[in-house]
Amino acid sequence: MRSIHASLLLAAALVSLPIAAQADNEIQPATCAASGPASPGELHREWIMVGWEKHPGDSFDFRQRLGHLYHWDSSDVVLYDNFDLQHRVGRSASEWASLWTGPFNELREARHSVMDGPDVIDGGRLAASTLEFAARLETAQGEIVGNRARTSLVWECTPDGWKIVREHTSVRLVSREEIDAIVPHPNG
Amino acid sequence: MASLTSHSIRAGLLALGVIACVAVSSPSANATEAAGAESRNKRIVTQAFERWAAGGTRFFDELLATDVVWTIEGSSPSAGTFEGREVFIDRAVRPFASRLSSPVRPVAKQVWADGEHVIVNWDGEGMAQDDVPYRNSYAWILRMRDGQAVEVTAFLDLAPYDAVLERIPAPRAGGQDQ
Repeated sequence: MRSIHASLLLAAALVSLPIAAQADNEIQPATCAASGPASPGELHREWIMVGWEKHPGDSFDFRQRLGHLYHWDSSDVVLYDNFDLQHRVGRSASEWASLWTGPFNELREARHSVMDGPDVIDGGRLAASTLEFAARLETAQGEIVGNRARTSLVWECTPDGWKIVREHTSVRLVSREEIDAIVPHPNG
Repeated sequence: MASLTSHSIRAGLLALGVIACVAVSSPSANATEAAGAESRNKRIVTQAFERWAAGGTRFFDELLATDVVWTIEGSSPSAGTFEGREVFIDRAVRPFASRLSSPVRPVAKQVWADGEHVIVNWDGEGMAQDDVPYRNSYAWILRMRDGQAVEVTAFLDLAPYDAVLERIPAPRAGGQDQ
C-alpha cells in the first residue's frame, strides 16, 4: 500500500515537472535579457547616462528619451524621487513624465556619471537594479547644482523586454568642488 | 625691545610670505595641478566612453574639439589625417557608420592618463548591414586641451574595418553619426 502511494506521488511529481517548466516559460519570455545591452543593469545605466542626459539646446521629451524603458500599460507602477520638492509619487509612467518634463526642460544642461553599480538581482519575471550616480545640473540661470543619488529600479519582464515598474531615488546635494571633480565639464 | 620684537615679527612674517610664495609656485604645487588636470582629463574621456557604451550618440561632438586633428595610423586607404571634427565625421565616421545596422559600441575599455594625454584601449562591437558582426580592438591616444581632444592618434586593425567598407555599398544619402 505504501509503495503504491509512493509510486502515485512520484508519477504526480513527474507529471507536474513539464507543467512547471511550461509555467516558467510563460513567466519569463525569451525577450528579457539576463546580460548585454537589454539586461536590467545595462538598461539602468542607459536610463541615467543617456535618458536623463541633457545638452544645451536640447528639448526634453520624456517619452522619446525614456519611454522605451518604462511600463506604460501597467496599473501597478510606483515611482518616487526625493529631488521632487513636492515629494509626489508617480502611479504611472505618463504621470511621471508629466511631473518631470517641465522641470527638466528648464535645466540648461544635465551630465551624469555612474559612481557605483549597477547591482542586479534577476528573478525572472521581476528584476531589481541599484546604482549610484552623480549629476552636474546647470539651471537656466547658470547655477551649477551637484548631487549624488542612489537609485533603485524594479523591472518587469514583458514581451517587449524589461520595463520599469518601480523607481526610488534618494538624492543628496554635494559641493561645487566635489561635482567638478567627479563630473568634470569641458568648459568648467 | 618693542621695536626689536616688532622688527623680528615683521621679518618673520616676510620670511613666511616668501616661503608661501615659493610654495605656491614650487614644483610640488605644479605637480599637484598637473595631477588634477590629468585626473580630470581621464574622467572626461572615461565618462564620454560610458555614455557611448550606454547608447549615447554624441561621443565625437562631445569629446572632440572643433579643430581636432585625427590620424588613423596604417597603410590601407582608410588611414590618413583628418583636420577638423566635421571633416573627420564626414569622411571617416559617417561613411563607416552608414554601413552598419547596429552602431559600434565600446564593450570593454581601459583608460590611462599621462599629463595632457589620455590613452584608451577599447574593444568595439557592431553589426554590419549584411548581418556580419563587426569587432575590433582600438588604441586611441588623445591629447586634451580644456576638456576636449585636440589631437587623436588611432590604431586599429584596418582589415575588418576596410572589409565593411568594401562589402557594403555606401547608401545614397544620410547615415548615422556613429
